[in-house]
Amino acid sequence: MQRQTITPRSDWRERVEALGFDFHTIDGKPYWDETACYRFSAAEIDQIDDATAEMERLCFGAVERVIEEELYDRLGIPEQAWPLITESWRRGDRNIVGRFDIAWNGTGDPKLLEYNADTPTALFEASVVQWDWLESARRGADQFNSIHEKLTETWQRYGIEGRVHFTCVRDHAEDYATTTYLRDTCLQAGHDTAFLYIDEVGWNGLGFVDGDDAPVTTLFKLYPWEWLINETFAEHIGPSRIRMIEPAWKMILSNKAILALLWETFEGHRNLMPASFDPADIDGGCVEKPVFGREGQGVKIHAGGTRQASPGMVYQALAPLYHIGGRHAVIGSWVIASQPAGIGIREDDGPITVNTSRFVPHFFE
Amino acid sequence: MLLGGASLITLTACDEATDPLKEAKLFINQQQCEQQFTSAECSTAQRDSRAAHVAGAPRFANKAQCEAEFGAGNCEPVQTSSSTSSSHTTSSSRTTSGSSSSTPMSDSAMNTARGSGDGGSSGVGMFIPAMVGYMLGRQMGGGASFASAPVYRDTQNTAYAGNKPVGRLDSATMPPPSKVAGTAGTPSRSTLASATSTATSRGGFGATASRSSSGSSSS
Repeated sequence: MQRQTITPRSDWRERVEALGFDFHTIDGKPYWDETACYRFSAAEIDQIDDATAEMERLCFGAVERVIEEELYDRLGIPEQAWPLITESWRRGDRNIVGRFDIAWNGTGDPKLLEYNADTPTALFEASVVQWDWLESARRGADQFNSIHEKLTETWQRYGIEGRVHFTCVRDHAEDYATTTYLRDTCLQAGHDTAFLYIDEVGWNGLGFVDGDDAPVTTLFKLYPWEWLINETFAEHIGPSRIRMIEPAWKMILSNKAILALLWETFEGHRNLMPASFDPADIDGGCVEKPVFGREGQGVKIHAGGTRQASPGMVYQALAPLYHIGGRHAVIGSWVIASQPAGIGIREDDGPITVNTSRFVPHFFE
Repeated sequence: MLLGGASLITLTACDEATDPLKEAKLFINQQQCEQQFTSAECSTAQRDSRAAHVAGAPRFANKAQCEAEFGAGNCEPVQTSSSTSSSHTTSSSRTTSGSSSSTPMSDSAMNTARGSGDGGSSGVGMFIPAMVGYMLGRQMGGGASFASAPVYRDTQNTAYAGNKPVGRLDSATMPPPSKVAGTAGTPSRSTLASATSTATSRGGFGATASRSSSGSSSS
Protein backbone atom coordinates (compact mmCIF):
# COMPACT_ATOMS: atom_id res chain seq x y z
CA MET A 1 0.00 0.00 0.00
CA GLN A 2 1.60 3.18 -1.18
CA ARG A 3 0.42 6.70 -1.91
CA GLN A 4 1.64 8.06 -5.23
CA THR A 5 1.52 11.68 -6.30
CA ILE A 6 0.36 11.90 -9.90
CA THR A 7 -0.68 14.46 -12.49
CA PRO A 8 -4.45 14.63 -12.89
CA ARG A 9 -5.92 13.97 -16.30
CA SER A 10 -6.07 17.30 -18.10
CA ASP A 11 -9.77 16.87 -18.79
CA TRP A 12 -10.66 15.19 -15.48
CA ARG A 13 -13.40 17.67 -14.68
CA GLU A 14 -15.24 17.17 -17.98
CA ARG A 15 -14.73 13.42 -17.77
CA VAL A 16 -16.19 12.96 -14.31
CA GLU A 17 -19.06 15.33 -15.05
CA ALA A 18 -19.85 13.35 -18.18
CA LEU A 19 -20.33 10.35 -15.89
CA GLY A 20 -22.90 12.32 -13.94
CA PHE A 21 -20.58 13.06 -11.03
CA ASP A 22 -21.41 16.66 -10.18
CA PHE A 23 -20.20 16.94 -6.58
CA HIS A 24 -16.51 16.45 -7.33
CA THR A 25 -15.88 19.78 -5.57
CA ILE A 26 -17.54 20.58 -2.25
CA ASP A 27 -17.51 24.11 -0.87
CA GLY A 28 -14.75 25.06 -3.29
CA LYS A 29 -12.50 22.21 -2.14
CA PRO A 30 -11.75 19.07 -4.08
CA TYR A 31 -13.76 16.01 -3.08
CA TRP A 32 -12.66 13.89 -6.01
CA ASP A 33 -8.86 14.11 -5.89
CA GLU A 34 -6.74 12.54 -8.58
CA THR A 35 -3.58 14.43 -7.73
CA ALA A 36 -2.76 11.20 -5.95
CA CYS A 37 -3.65 7.55 -6.06
CA TYR A 38 -3.02 4.46 -3.95
CA ARG A 39 -1.13 1.48 -5.28
CA PHE A 40 -1.68 -1.96 -3.79
CA SER A 41 -0.13 -5.34 -4.50
CA ALA A 42 -2.43 -8.22 -5.44
CA ALA A 43 -1.56 -9.88 -2.14
CA GLU A 44 -2.64 -6.78 -0.24
CA ILE A 45 -5.95 -6.71 -2.09
CA ASP A 46 -6.46 -10.37 -1.19
CA GLN A 47 -5.86 -9.49 2.42
CA ILE A 48 -8.46 -6.69 2.33
CA ASP A 49 -10.91 -9.00 0.55
CA ASP A 50 -10.47 -11.71 3.20
CA ALA A 51 -10.69 -9.24 6.08
CA THR A 52 -13.89 -7.79 4.64
CA ALA A 53 -15.53 -11.20 4.35
CA GLU A 54 -14.47 -11.94 7.90
CA MET A 55 -15.91 -8.66 9.20
CA GLU A 56 -19.25 -9.44 7.56
CA ARG A 57 -19.20 -12.87 9.18
CA LEU A 58 -18.51 -11.33 12.59
CA CYS A 59 -21.32 -8.83 12.09
CA PHE A 60 -23.80 -11.58 11.26
CA GLY A 61 -22.70 -13.35 14.42
CA ALA A 62 -23.35 -10.17 16.39
CA VAL A 63 -26.81 -9.76 14.83
CA GLU A 64 -27.68 -13.35 15.80
CA ARG A 65 -26.60 -12.65 19.32
CA VAL A 66 -28.48 -9.36 19.66
CA ILE A 67 -31.69 -11.00 18.41
CA GLU A 68 -31.31 -14.20 20.45
CA GLU A 69 -30.49 -12.39 23.67
CA GLU A 70 -32.66 -9.32 22.95
CA LEU A 71 -29.82 -6.89 23.56
CA TYR A 72 -31.66 -4.02 21.87
CA ASP A 73 -31.55 -1.85 24.96
CA ARG A 74 -27.78 -1.93 24.99
CA LEU A 75 -27.80 -0.60 21.44
CA GLY A 76 -30.32 2.12 22.26
CA ILE A 77 -32.77 0.73 19.71
CA PRO A 78 -36.35 1.83 20.52
CA GLU A 79 -38.88 -0.81 21.37
CA GLN A 80 -41.11 -0.27 18.33
CA ALA A 81 -38.21 -1.42 16.17
CA TRP A 82 -37.66 -4.76 17.90
CA PRO A 83 -40.38 -6.79 16.16
CA LEU A 84 -39.43 -5.32 12.77
CA ILE A 85 -35.81 -6.30 13.30
CA THR A 86 -36.61 -9.78 14.55
CA GLU A 87 -39.11 -10.47 11.78
CA SER A 88 -36.86 -9.16 9.02
CA TRP A 89 -34.01 -11.38 10.24
CA ARG A 90 -36.17 -14.50 10.64
CA ARG A 91 -37.76 -13.95 7.23
CA GLY A 92 -34.26 -13.73 5.79
CA ASP A 93 -34.79 -10.30 4.25
CA ARG A 94 -31.77 -9.81 2.09
CA ASN A 95 -29.42 -6.88 2.17
CA ILE A 96 -27.89 -5.09 -0.77
CA VAL A 97 -25.08 -2.83 0.26
CA GLY A 98 -22.76 -1.84 3.08
CA ARG A 99 -19.35 -0.28 3.57
CA PHE A 100 -16.76 -1.22 6.17
CA ASP A 101 -14.37 1.52 7.09
CA ILE A 102 -11.03 -0.16 7.63
CA ALA A 103 -7.81 1.06 9.18
CA TRP A 104 -4.76 -0.48 7.58
CA ASN A 105 -1.32 0.65 6.58
CA GLY A 106 -0.29 -2.46 4.71
CA THR A 107 1.21 -4.22 7.71
CA GLY A 108 -0.48 -6.33 10.34
CA ASP A 109 -4.19 -7.04 10.10
CA PRO A 110 -6.82 -4.71 8.66
CA LYS A 111 -8.97 -3.41 11.53
CA LEU A 112 -12.64 -2.54 11.51
CA LEU A 113 -13.24 1.14 12.34
CA GLU A 114 -16.98 1.01 11.74
CA TYR A 115 -19.65 -0.44 9.51
CA ASN A 116 -21.85 1.86 7.44
CA ALA A 117 -24.45 -0.83 7.05
CA ASP A 118 -27.61 1.15 6.44
CA THR A 119 -27.00 4.32 4.43
CA PRO A 120 -23.51 4.16 2.93
CA THR A 121 -22.42 6.71 0.34
CA ALA A 122 -19.38 7.22 -1.89
CA LEU A 123 -20.71 4.24 -3.81
CA PHE A 124 -20.94 5.88 -7.20
CA GLU A 125 -17.43 7.32 -6.85
CA ALA A 126 -16.03 3.91 -5.94
CA SER A 127 -17.93 1.95 -8.54
CA VAL A 128 -17.97 4.22 -11.58
CA VAL A 129 -15.77 7.30 -11.27
CA GLN A 130 -12.63 5.55 -10.09
CA TRP A 131 -13.16 2.80 -12.66
CA ASP A 132 -13.23 5.39 -15.41
CA TRP A 133 -10.04 6.85 -13.95
CA LEU A 134 -8.38 3.41 -14.08
CA GLU A 135 -9.39 2.90 -17.71
CA SER A 136 -7.98 6.21 -18.85
CA ALA A 137 -5.11 6.89 -16.42
CA ARG A 138 -3.81 3.42 -15.42
CA ARG A 139 -4.71 1.24 -18.32
CA GLY A 140 -3.26 -2.22 -17.83
CA ALA A 141 -3.46 -2.05 -14.06
CA ASP A 142 -6.31 -3.59 -12.11
CA GLN A 143 -8.68 -2.30 -9.46
CA PHE A 144 -10.51 -4.00 -6.61
CA ASN A 145 -13.90 -3.09 -7.98
CA SER A 146 -16.68 -5.42 -9.02
CA ILE A 147 -19.27 -3.24 -7.33
CA HIS A 148 -21.31 -2.54 -10.44
CA GLU A 149 -21.43 -6.15 -11.62
CA LYS A 150 -22.31 -7.43 -8.16
CA LEU A 151 -25.09 -4.89 -7.73
CA THR A 152 -26.68 -5.82 -11.03
CA GLU A 153 -26.39 -9.55 -10.28
CA THR A 154 -27.84 -9.03 -6.83
CA TRP A 155 -30.92 -7.23 -8.12
CA GLN A 156 -31.43 -10.05 -10.61
CA ARG A 157 -31.29 -12.69 -7.90
CA TYR A 158 -33.29 -10.72 -5.41
CA GLY A 159 -36.69 -12.15 -6.31
CA ILE A 160 -38.56 -8.86 -6.37
CA GLU A 161 -42.15 -8.76 -7.60
CA GLY A 162 -43.33 -5.50 -9.06
CA ARG A 163 -41.83 -2.07 -9.03
CA VAL A 164 -38.91 -1.05 -6.84
CA HIS A 165 -39.12 2.46 -5.44
CA PHE A 166 -36.00 4.42 -4.50
CA THR A 167 -36.02 7.27 -2.06
CA CYS A 168 -33.76 9.75 -0.27
CA VAL A 169 -33.96 13.25 1.20
CA ARG A 170 -34.43 16.39 -0.86
CA ASP A 171 -31.68 18.86 -1.69
CA HIS A 172 -28.74 16.59 -1.14
CA ALA A 173 -26.70 16.00 -4.29
CA GLU A 174 -24.58 13.22 -2.88
CA ASP A 175 -27.47 11.18 -1.51
CA TYR A 176 -29.43 11.70 -4.70
CA ALA A 177 -26.47 10.53 -6.79
CA THR A 178 -26.04 7.39 -4.69
CA THR A 179 -29.75 6.61 -4.85
CA THR A 180 -29.95 7.28 -8.56
CA TYR A 181 -26.94 5.08 -9.20
CA LEU A 182 -28.46 2.20 -7.24
CA ARG A 183 -31.70 2.66 -9.11
CA ASP A 184 -29.77 2.48 -12.34
CA THR A 185 -28.21 -0.86 -11.40
CA CYS A 186 -31.69 -2.15 -10.52
CA LEU A 187 -33.01 -0.96 -13.85
CA GLN A 188 -30.15 -2.68 -15.65
CA ALA A 189 -31.14 -5.86 -13.85
CA GLY A 190 -34.50 -5.61 -15.58
CA HIS A 191 -36.72 -4.24 -12.82
CA ASP A 192 -39.37 -1.58 -13.07
CA THR A 193 -38.22 1.31 -10.88
CA ALA A 194 -39.37 4.72 -9.70
CA PHE A 195 -37.92 7.51 -7.58
CA LEU A 196 -39.60 9.64 -4.95
CA TYR A 197 -38.38 11.83 -2.12
CA ILE A 198 -38.81 10.41 1.35
CA ASP A 199 -41.44 12.99 2.33
CA GLU A 200 -43.53 12.02 -0.72
CA VAL A 201 -44.17 8.53 0.58
CA GLY A 202 -47.88 8.22 1.31
CA TRP A 203 -50.01 5.93 3.43
CA ASN A 204 -53.55 5.18 2.28
CA GLY A 205 -54.69 3.04 5.16
CA LEU A 206 -53.76 -0.22 3.49
CA GLY A 207 -50.31 0.28 2.19
CA PHE A 208 -47.64 2.74 1.24
CA VAL A 209 -48.11 4.63 -2.02
CA ASP A 210 -46.02 6.92 -4.17
CA GLY A 211 -46.90 10.40 -5.46
CA ASP A 212 -49.19 8.85 -8.08
CA ASP A 213 -50.92 6.72 -5.45
CA ALA A 214 -49.33 3.60 -6.93
CA PRO A 215 -48.45 0.99 -4.32
CA VAL A 216 -44.95 0.99 -2.88
CA THR A 217 -44.18 -2.63 -2.09
CA THR A 218 -40.38 -2.63 -2.26
CA LEU A 219 -38.56 0.47 -1.08
CA PHE A 220 -34.86 1.20 -1.20
CA LYS A 221 -34.30 4.07 1.22
CA LEU A 222 -31.09 5.99 1.59
CA TYR A 223 -32.53 7.25 4.85
CA PRO A 224 -31.47 5.92 8.23
CA TRP A 225 -33.63 3.39 10.01
CA GLU A 226 -32.90 5.15 13.30
CA TRP A 227 -34.77 8.18 11.90
CA LEU A 228 -37.56 6.27 10.15
CA ILE A 229 -38.42 4.28 13.22
CA ASN A 230 -39.24 7.40 15.22
CA GLU A 231 -41.41 8.99 12.53
CA THR A 232 -45.19 8.88 12.27
CA PHE A 233 -45.44 6.28 9.48
CA ALA A 234 -43.21 3.83 11.34
CA GLU A 235 -46.23 2.06 12.82
CA HIS A 236 -47.39 1.13 9.30
CA ILE A 237 -44.17 -0.60 8.25
CA GLY A 238 -45.01 -3.92 9.88
CA PRO A 239 -48.71 -4.11 8.94
CA SER A 240 -48.05 -2.99 5.35
CA ARG A 241 -45.60 -5.86 4.73
CA ILE A 242 -43.51 -3.46 2.71
CA ARG A 243 -40.11 -4.83 1.77
CA MET A 244 -37.49 -2.37 2.92
CA ILE A 245 -33.93 -2.22 1.65
CA GLU A 246 -31.75 -2.15 3.64
CA PRO A 247 -33.80 -4.49 5.84
CA ALA A 248 -34.71 -3.58 9.42
CA TRP A 249 -32.08 -5.90 10.90
CA LYS A 250 -29.40 -3.53 9.57
CA MET A 251 -30.42 -1.26 12.45
CA ILE A 252 -28.30 -3.48 14.67
CA LEU A 253 -25.22 -2.97 12.53
CA SER A 254 -25.49 0.68 11.54
CA ASN A 255 -25.34 1.57 15.19
CA LYS A 256 -21.81 2.16 16.47
CA ALA A 257 -22.61 0.47 19.75
CA ILE A 258 -22.19 -2.72 17.74
CA LEU A 259 -18.43 -2.12 17.97
CA ALA A 260 -18.56 -2.75 21.72
CA LEU A 261 -20.75 -5.82 21.24
CA LEU A 262 -18.47 -7.18 18.52
CA TRP A 263 -15.47 -6.89 20.82
CA GLU A 264 -17.39 -8.43 23.70
CA THR A 265 -18.51 -11.33 21.48
CA PHE A 266 -15.26 -11.91 19.58
CA GLU A 267 -12.70 -10.43 21.97
CA GLY A 268 -9.19 -10.48 20.59
CA HIS A 269 -10.24 -11.10 16.98
CA ARG A 270 -7.48 -10.02 14.62
CA ASN A 271 -9.75 -7.69 12.60
CA LEU A 272 -11.24 -5.87 15.58
CA MET A 273 -10.00 -3.12 17.86
CA PRO A 274 -10.93 -3.19 21.55
CA ALA A 275 -14.18 -1.29 22.05
CA SER A 276 -16.43 -0.67 25.03
CA PHE A 277 -19.07 1.63 26.48
CA ASP A 278 -16.57 2.33 29.23
CA PRO A 279 -13.31 4.00 28.17
CA ALA A 280 -11.63 2.64 31.29
CA ASP A 281 -11.69 -0.76 29.57
CA ILE A 282 -9.34 0.52 26.90
CA ASP A 283 -5.62 0.87 27.38
CA GLY A 284 -3.93 3.93 25.93
CA GLY A 285 -5.53 6.32 23.49
CA CYS A 286 -9.08 5.83 22.34
CA VAL A 287 -11.63 7.27 19.99
CA GLU A 288 -15.00 8.40 21.32
CA LYS A 289 -17.84 7.90 18.81
CA PRO A 290 -21.51 8.79 19.12
CA VAL A 291 -23.61 5.65 18.79
CA PHE A 292 -25.82 7.35 16.20
CA GLY A 293 -23.21 9.57 14.59
CA ARG A 294 -22.50 9.75 10.89
CA GLU A 295 -19.75 11.13 8.70
CA GLY A 296 -17.38 11.73 11.54
CA GLN A 297 -19.72 14.02 13.45
CA GLY A 298 -18.98 14.10 17.17
CA VAL A 299 -15.97 11.80 16.90
CA LYS A 300 -13.17 12.73 19.32
CA ILE A 301 -9.73 11.31 19.85
CA HIS A 302 -8.44 11.01 23.40
CA ALA A 303 -4.75 10.45 22.75
CA GLY A 304 -3.84 9.91 26.38
CA GLY A 305 -6.99 7.98 27.12
CA THR A 306 -10.02 9.10 29.08
CA ARG A 307 -11.65 7.58 32.11
CA GLN A 308 -14.94 9.42 31.72
CA ALA A 309 -17.78 7.50 30.08
CA SER A 310 -20.48 9.61 28.42
CA PRO A 311 -23.94 8.29 27.64
CA GLY A 312 -24.63 7.60 23.98
CA MET A 313 -20.93 7.10 23.26
CA VAL A 314 -18.83 4.09 22.41
CA TYR A 315 -15.07 3.96 22.86
CA GLN A 316 -12.65 2.23 20.54
CA ALA A 317 -8.89 1.82 20.86
CA LEU A 318 -6.91 3.93 18.40
CA ALA A 319 -6.20 1.99 15.22
CA PRO A 320 -3.17 3.00 13.19
CA LEU A 321 -4.27 4.60 9.90
CA TYR A 322 -2.09 4.78 6.84
CA HIS A 323 -0.60 8.24 6.93
CA ILE A 324 2.07 10.11 5.08
CA GLY A 325 2.93 13.79 4.95
CA GLY A 326 0.08 14.63 7.33
CA ARG A 327 -2.51 12.84 5.21
CA HIS A 328 -4.55 9.99 6.64
CA ALA A 329 -6.32 7.35 4.60
CA VAL A 330 -9.25 5.11 5.45
CA ILE A 331 -10.21 2.17 3.26
CA GLY A 332 -13.92 1.94 2.52
CA SER A 333 -14.52 -1.71 1.71
CA TRP A 334 -17.82 -2.49 0.02
CA VAL A 335 -19.97 -5.54 0.48
CA ILE A 336 -22.74 -6.20 -2.01
CA ALA A 337 -25.21 -8.82 -0.79
CA SER A 338 -22.57 -9.56 1.85
CA GLN A 339 -19.84 -10.32 -0.73
CA PRO A 340 -16.65 -8.22 -0.74
CA ALA A 341 -16.91 -6.13 -3.90
CA GLY A 342 -14.30 -3.39 -3.95
CA ILE A 343 -12.76 -0.45 -2.15
CA GLY A 344 -12.67 3.33 -2.19
CA ILE A 345 -10.03 5.36 -0.33
CA ARG A 346 -10.94 8.48 1.63
CA GLU A 347 -8.13 10.81 2.60
CA ASP A 348 -8.10 13.63 5.11
CA ASP A 349 -5.60 16.04 6.58
CA GLY A 350 -6.84 15.03 10.02
CA PRO A 351 -7.18 11.54 11.47
CA ILE A 352 -11.00 11.63 11.38
CA THR A 353 -12.74 10.96 8.09
CA VAL A 354 -15.63 13.38 7.49
CA ASN A 355 -18.08 13.93 4.67
CA THR A 356 -15.69 16.19 2.79
CA SER A 357 -12.69 13.87 3.08
CA ARG A 358 -11.21 13.50 -0.37
CA PHE A 359 -11.93 10.44 -2.49
CA VAL A 360 -8.65 9.22 -4.00
CA PRO A 361 -8.58 6.44 -6.63
CA HIS A 362 -6.60 3.22 -6.30
CA PHE A 363 -5.18 0.46 -8.45
CA PHE A 364 -3.29 -2.76 -7.93
CA GLU A 365 -0.77 -4.71 -9.97
CA MET B 1 -59.10 -10.26 -6.36
CA LEU B 2 -60.35 -13.51 -4.99
CA LEU B 3 -63.22 -13.18 -2.62
CA GLY B 4 -65.38 -15.51 -0.66
CA GLY B 5 -63.44 -16.71 2.34
CA ALA B 6 -66.47 -18.70 3.37
CA SER B 7 -68.62 -18.23 0.28
CA LEU B 8 -69.79 -14.92 1.57
CA ILE B 9 -69.20 -12.86 -1.47
CA THR B 10 -69.82 -13.11 -5.12
CA LEU B 11 -66.82 -12.57 -7.28
CA THR B 12 -66.30 -9.33 -9.06
CA ALA B 13 -63.72 -8.11 -11.47
CA CYS B 14 -60.09 -8.60 -10.63
CA ASP B 15 -57.89 -5.68 -10.03
CA GLU B 16 -54.53 -4.74 -11.35
CA ALA B 17 -51.77 -7.27 -10.88
CA THR B 18 -49.95 -5.12 -8.39
CA ASP B 19 -52.77 -5.20 -5.91
CA PRO B 20 -51.33 -6.67 -2.71
CA LEU B 21 -54.77 -8.08 -1.94
CA LYS B 22 -55.04 -9.84 -5.28
CA GLU B 23 -55.27 -13.28 -3.70
CA ALA B 24 -56.95 -12.21 -0.50
CA LYS B 25 -60.20 -13.54 0.94
CA LEU B 26 -62.70 -12.00 3.28
CA PHE B 27 -63.23 -13.33 6.78
CA ILE B 28 -65.73 -12.07 9.30
CA ASN B 29 -64.28 -13.83 12.31
CA GLN B 30 -61.30 -15.73 13.61
CA GLN B 31 -62.96 -19.11 13.34
CA GLN B 32 -63.65 -18.62 9.65
CA CYS B 33 -60.13 -17.41 9.02
CA GLU B 34 -58.57 -20.38 10.78
CA GLN B 35 -60.09 -22.72 8.24
CA GLN B 36 -57.55 -21.39 5.77
CA PHE B 37 -54.77 -19.77 7.76
CA THR B 38 -53.03 -20.49 11.03
CA SER B 39 -54.32 -19.00 14.22
CA ALA B 40 -51.29 -16.71 14.48
CA GLU B 41 -51.70 -15.49 10.89
CA CYS B 42 -55.35 -14.71 11.50
CA SER B 43 -54.65 -12.89 14.75
CA THR B 44 -51.97 -10.82 13.08
CA ALA B 45 -54.25 -9.98 10.15
CA GLN B 46 -57.04 -9.00 12.48
CA ARG B 47 -54.75 -6.80 14.56
CA ASP B 48 -53.17 -5.21 11.49
CA SER B 49 -56.54 -4.61 9.89
CA ARG B 50 -57.84 -3.04 13.06
CA ALA B 51 -54.83 -0.72 13.09
CA ALA B 52 -55.29 0.13 9.42
CA HIS B 53 -58.98 0.68 10.11
CA VAL B 54 -58.36 3.23 12.81
CA ALA B 55 -55.68 4.93 10.74
CA GLY B 56 -57.26 4.86 7.33
CA ALA B 57 -61.00 4.16 7.34
CA PRO B 58 -63.11 6.49 5.18
CA ARG B 59 -63.91 9.53 7.29
CA PHE B 60 -67.09 11.55 7.37
CA ALA B 61 -67.71 14.91 8.93
CA ASN B 62 -70.84 13.73 10.69
CA LYS B 63 -72.68 10.59 11.63
CA ALA B 64 -75.58 11.15 9.21
CA GLN B 65 -73.30 11.28 6.21
CA CYS B 66 -71.55 8.11 7.28
CA GLU B 67 -74.80 6.28 8.00
CA ALA B 68 -76.26 7.35 4.69
CA GLU B 69 -73.60 5.29 3.05
CA PHE B 70 -72.95 2.53 5.53
CA GLY B 71 -76.29 2.13 7.25
CA ALA B 72 -77.91 3.08 10.51
CA GLY B 73 -75.91 2.11 13.55
CA ASN B 74 -72.90 1.16 11.49
CA CYS B 75 -70.74 4.18 12.09
CA GLU B 76 -68.49 5.01 14.96
CA PRO B 77 -66.84 8.23 16.05
CA VAL B 78 -63.10 8.53 15.74
CA GLN B 79 -60.63 11.12 16.91
CA THR B 80 -58.35 12.15 14.13
CA SER B 81 -55.26 14.13 14.40
CA SER B 82 -54.60 16.67 11.76
CA SER B 83 -52.81 14.67 9.17
CA THR B 84 -50.13 16.00 6.90
CA SER B 85 -48.51 18.79 5.07
CA SER B 86 -51.38 20.12 3.06
CA SER B 87 -49.55 20.35 -0.21
CA HIS B 88 -49.22 16.59 -0.34
CA THR B 89 -52.54 15.66 1.13
CA THR B 90 -55.01 14.16 -1.23
CA SER B 91 -58.56 13.22 -0.66
CA SER B 92 -61.01 11.01 -2.35
CA SER B 93 -64.70 11.42 -2.55
CA ARG B 94 -66.83 8.41 -2.05
CA THR B 95 -69.45 9.47 -4.47
CA THR B 96 -71.11 8.20 -7.52
CA SER B 97 -73.00 10.18 -10.07
CA GLY B 98 -76.32 11.64 -9.05
CA SER B 99 -78.33 8.52 -9.72
CA SER B 100 -79.80 6.47 -6.96
CA SER B 101 -79.23 3.21 -8.74
CA SER B 102 -78.15 0.24 -6.72
CA THR B 103 -75.13 -0.63 -8.83
CA PRO B 104 -71.96 -0.99 -6.87
CA MET B 105 -69.67 1.97 -6.94
CA SER B 106 -67.33 1.66 -9.82
CA ASP B 107 -63.59 1.72 -9.51
CA SER B 108 -63.42 4.90 -11.46
CA ALA B 109 -65.82 6.61 -9.12
CA MET B 110 -63.58 5.60 -6.28
CA ASN B 111 -60.48 6.98 -7.85
CA THR B 112 -58.61 9.43 -5.81
CA ALA B 113 -59.29 13.02 -6.66
CA ARG B 114 -56.04 14.90 -6.33
CA GLY B 115 -55.70 18.39 -5.07
CA SER B 116 -59.34 18.70 -4.24
CA GLY B 117 -58.77 21.09 -1.45
CA ASP B 118 -59.11 20.68 2.24
CA GLY B 119 -57.89 17.15 2.67
CA GLY B 120 -60.91 16.37 4.72
CA SER B 121 -59.63 14.56 7.73
CA SER B 122 -58.12 17.05 10.07
CA GLY B 123 -59.88 17.98 13.24
CA VAL B 124 -61.86 15.95 15.70
CA GLY B 125 -65.19 14.21 15.85
CA MET B 126 -65.11 12.41 12.51
CA PHE B 127 -67.09 9.24 11.85
CA ILE B 128 -65.92 6.04 10.27
CA PRO B 129 -67.84 2.92 9.24
CA ALA B 130 -67.63 -0.19 11.37
CA MET B 131 -65.41 -3.02 10.20
CA VAL B 132 -67.39 -6.05 9.13
CA GLY B 133 -64.36 -8.25 8.65
CA TYR B 134 -60.93 -8.32 7.13
CA MET B 135 -59.21 -9.51 4.01
CA LEU B 136 -56.20 -11.77 4.26
CA GLY B 137 -54.09 -13.27 1.54
CA ARG B 138 -50.63 -14.42 0.71
CA GLN B 139 -48.66 -11.91 -1.30
CA MET B 140 -47.75 -12.80 -4.83
CA GLY B 141 -44.60 -14.84 -4.78
CA GLY B 142 -45.82 -16.81 -1.81
CA GLY B 143 -43.62 -17.33 1.16
CA ALA B 144 -44.44 -15.88 4.51
CA SER B 145 -45.56 -12.51 3.20
CA PHE B 146 -49.18 -11.53 3.81
CA ALA B 147 -51.47 -8.70 2.90
CA SER B 148 -54.46 -7.79 4.99
CA ALA B 149 -57.00 -4.98 5.10
CA PRO B 150 -60.14 -3.99 6.98
CA VAL B 151 -63.43 -4.54 5.16
CA TYR B 152 -66.57 -2.38 5.20
CA ARG B 153 -69.86 -2.76 3.42
CA ASP B 154 -72.35 -0.14 2.43
CA THR B 155 -76.12 -0.11 2.23
CA GLN B 156 -75.89 -1.63 -1.27
CA ASN B 157 -74.00 -4.56 0.26
CA THR B 158 -70.90 -3.62 -1.63
CA ALA B 159 -67.74 -4.63 0.24
CA TYR B 160 -64.75 -2.32 0.43
CA ALA B 161 -61.24 -3.12 1.45
CA GLY B 162 -60.22 0.27 2.72
CA ASN B 163 -61.41 2.62 0.01
CA LYS B 164 -61.55 0.03 -2.74
CA PRO B 165 -64.71 -1.81 -3.76
CA VAL B 166 -63.83 -5.48 -3.83
CA GLY B 167 -67.13 -7.20 -4.51
CA ARG B 168 -70.64 -7.71 -3.31
CA LEU B 169 -71.63 -9.56 -0.22
CA ASP B 170 -74.10 -12.37 -0.57
CA SER B 171 -77.39 -10.96 0.76
CA ALA B 172 -78.60 -14.40 1.75
CA THR B 173 -75.85 -14.94 4.29
CA MET B 174 -75.12 -11.33 5.12
CA PRO B 175 -78.09 -9.04 4.69
CA PRO B 176 -77.33 -5.42 3.96
CA PRO B 177 -77.53 -2.93 6.80
CA SER B 178 -80.70 -0.93 7.10
CA LYS B 179 -80.69 2.49 5.64
CA VAL B 180 -80.73 5.62 7.69
CA ALA B 181 -83.61 5.51 10.11
CA GLY B 182 -86.59 7.58 9.07
CA THR B 183 -85.40 8.04 5.54
CA ALA B 184 -87.55 6.55 2.87
CA GLY B 185 -85.66 4.87 0.11
CA THR B 186 -82.12 5.43 -0.91
CA PRO B 187 -80.42 8.42 0.60
CA SER B 188 -79.87 11.28 -1.70
CA ARG B 189 -76.51 11.01 -3.37
CA SER B 190 -76.14 14.72 -3.17
CA THR B 191 -75.64 14.45 0.56
CA LEU B 192 -72.77 12.09 -0.11
CA ALA B 193 -71.01 14.42 -2.44
CA SER B 194 -69.65 16.38 0.46
CA ALA B 195 -68.60 13.33 2.39
CA THR B 196 -64.90 13.15 1.86
CA SER B 197 -62.46 10.67 3.21
CA THR B 198 -58.76 10.94 3.43
CA ALA B 199 -57.26 8.45 1.05
CA THR B 200 -53.62 9.19 1.45
CA SER B 201 -51.59 11.01 4.00
CA ARG B 202 -48.03 12.05 3.33
CA GLY B 203 -45.11 13.47 5.18
CA GLY B 204 -45.03 10.64 7.70
CA PHE B 205 -41.45 9.97 6.72
CA GLY B 206 -38.67 12.49 6.33
CA ALA B 207 -39.31 14.77 9.28
CA THR B 208 -36.02 13.93 10.97
CA ALA B 209 -34.03 15.04 7.94
CA SER B 210 -35.61 18.46 7.98
CA ARG B 211 -34.54 18.83 11.59
CA SER B 212 -31.02 17.60 10.96
CA SER B 213 -28.55 20.45 10.93
CA SER B 214 -26.34 18.96 8.25
CA GLY B 215 -29.16 17.61 6.11
CA SER B 216 -27.04 14.57 5.56
CA SER B 217 -28.65 11.25 6.09
CA SER B 218 -25.90 9.04 4.82
CA SER B 219 -22.55 7.89 6.02
